[in-house]
Amino acid sequence: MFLALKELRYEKTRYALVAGIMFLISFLVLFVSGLAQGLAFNNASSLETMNVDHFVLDKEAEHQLTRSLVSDEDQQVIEDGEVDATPFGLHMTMLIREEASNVDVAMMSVDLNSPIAPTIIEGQTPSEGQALIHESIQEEGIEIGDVVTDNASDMEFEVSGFTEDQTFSHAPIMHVHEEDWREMRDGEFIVSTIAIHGSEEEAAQVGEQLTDSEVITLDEALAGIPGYSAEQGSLTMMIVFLYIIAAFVLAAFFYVITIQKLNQFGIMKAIGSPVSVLAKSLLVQVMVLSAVSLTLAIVVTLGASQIMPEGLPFQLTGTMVAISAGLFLLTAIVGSLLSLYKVAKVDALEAIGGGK
Amino acid sequence: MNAKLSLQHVQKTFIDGDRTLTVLKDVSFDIFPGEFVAIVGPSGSGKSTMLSIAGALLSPSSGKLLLDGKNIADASEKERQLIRLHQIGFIFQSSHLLPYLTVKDQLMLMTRLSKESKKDAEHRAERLLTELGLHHRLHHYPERLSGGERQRVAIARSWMNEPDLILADEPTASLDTERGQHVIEQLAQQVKQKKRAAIMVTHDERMLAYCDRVITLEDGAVS
Ligand SMILES: Nc1ncnc2c1ncn2[C@@H]1O[C@H](COP(=O)(O)OP(=O)(O)OP(=O)(O)O)[C@@H](O)[C@H]1O
Ligand SMILES: [Mg+2]
Repeated sequence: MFLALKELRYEKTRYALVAGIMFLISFLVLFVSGLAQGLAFNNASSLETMNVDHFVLDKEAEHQLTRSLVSDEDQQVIEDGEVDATPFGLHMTMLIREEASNVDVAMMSVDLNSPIAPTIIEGQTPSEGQALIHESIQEEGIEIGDVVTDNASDMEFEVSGFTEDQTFSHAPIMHVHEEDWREMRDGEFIVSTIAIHGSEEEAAQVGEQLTDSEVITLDEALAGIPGYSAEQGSLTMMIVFLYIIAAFVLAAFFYVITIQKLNQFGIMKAIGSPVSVLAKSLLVQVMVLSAVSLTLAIVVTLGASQIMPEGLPFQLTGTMVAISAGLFLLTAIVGSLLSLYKVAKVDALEAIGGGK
Repeated sequence: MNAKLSLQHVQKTFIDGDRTLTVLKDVSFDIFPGEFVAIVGPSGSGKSTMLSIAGALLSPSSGKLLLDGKNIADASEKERQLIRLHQIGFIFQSSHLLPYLTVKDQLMLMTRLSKESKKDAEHRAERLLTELGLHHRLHHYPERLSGGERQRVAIARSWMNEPDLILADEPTASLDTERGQHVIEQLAQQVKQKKRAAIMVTHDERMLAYCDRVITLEDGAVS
């Protein structure tokens, strides 16, 4: 500590530069992580807020909720079973408007008294011929009391209220009354998916009894949304690369600094310093610089998220910040390994040089 | 009286590529507490190599190296590090101070390495620096010191852990005659006062006056 901190203080400019680079990289890591998480939430907030870990889907739907249709027999099996479950219908459609552009929505029907019912933030529960829509629809100029036409069924709906955190495939969800959902399919209530409110084991048990359907996890359901994996995949790749870049940049910086100081390390060794003291001093410096730049990056990222425009999907949870910070510290240690190796190998004789 | 340090038939061979170079052929001598010995000899005769061996920085190829009667010729790296830290004080040709430590901290570093209590050490550091005429420089960084001052700090550093053996390789090479003589005078004084043993390699004939004995190395052997 003694050596590490005294040196950081003496070589302020040099280490401030290193910390500056580390700050920028960790800020970028946090920012892109927040964007990835925000986009994921923005894509399918309805699934994420349901608090459900398992879904029953048609085996042939390839994990796509909008393609799925759970057979009557399987619906019956689940209804007769012990586990609580909520069936719901879901498909993508479009709202037609006169003198305004059309709007993509995901139409959904679910028992509004069930655990997965949406939270209404304005207006009221819809009766027949009415619909709840995610609040983001207001950006399209749609308000409570407006009448919209569903392109697929040609049915008209009056907007009765707005919900929060109800999106699917980046589109706002429009919740319609069960009777209307039936009417769209000639009186039959089409069940796309059944949400299972139960443990892992209970879900697995349900799965065994099904014939045409299967039980998938929330992550599989998310990955099944068209574009979801591609979106998250490219962002994840960016984040991974940022960590790799961070490791290399740090490695290069510390390596250069260490090489410059090899003579000092050699002298220290000659006057009786154990190598462990030298290594510890280097690690303390790496940790202090990382901690300072990370703290700054976290503060700036959180600050930036406050002043970001509404439309920008950005979400950074405490867990995500903690994971990123941990990974970044690990990256910093990996980056300093090469320097540590150099320090361990330092030759005291070469440093004193015998006057050479 | 027992010798502080005793070299017995020390030989050192370097392997340089495919040829071997015998730098020390057969070096034997004893040095006693309170003795200040000078080593002279032509360039390349092996003076620095001999001093590195005496200072537990380098192991001899053969022969014995007795420190307080104990053979440390084959000591492990860890043992040699501890010997260097506690029993030997090294003074190099140039001061080799750490640029980011103040004069006092250069000395405090030594006690930190030896895990000694800070309180006693602070007193000793200040007393040593005062003896060497550096009291007004306690909180200065090396870059602000003159060459002579730096070398005196290096000397104070080598005394900080109260070693019984002091090894100096051309400690006055970077100083002018007057400063050099002053520094060596103080070194000689310490040796006498504290009953320490010191070996100094030097090219400067004028420094020999302060030494009790002169050993001449020539071609890897004492002549
Ligand atoms: N690590 C080494 N590998 C190979 N040869 C070495 C090594 N160290 C020293 N030598 C050789 O050993 C010989 C003696 O070197 P040393 O530094 O001990 O001489 P010296 O008496 O101190 O000379 P000077 O007065 O110039 O300082 C030289 O020829 C040198 O090249
Ligand atoms: Mg030499």
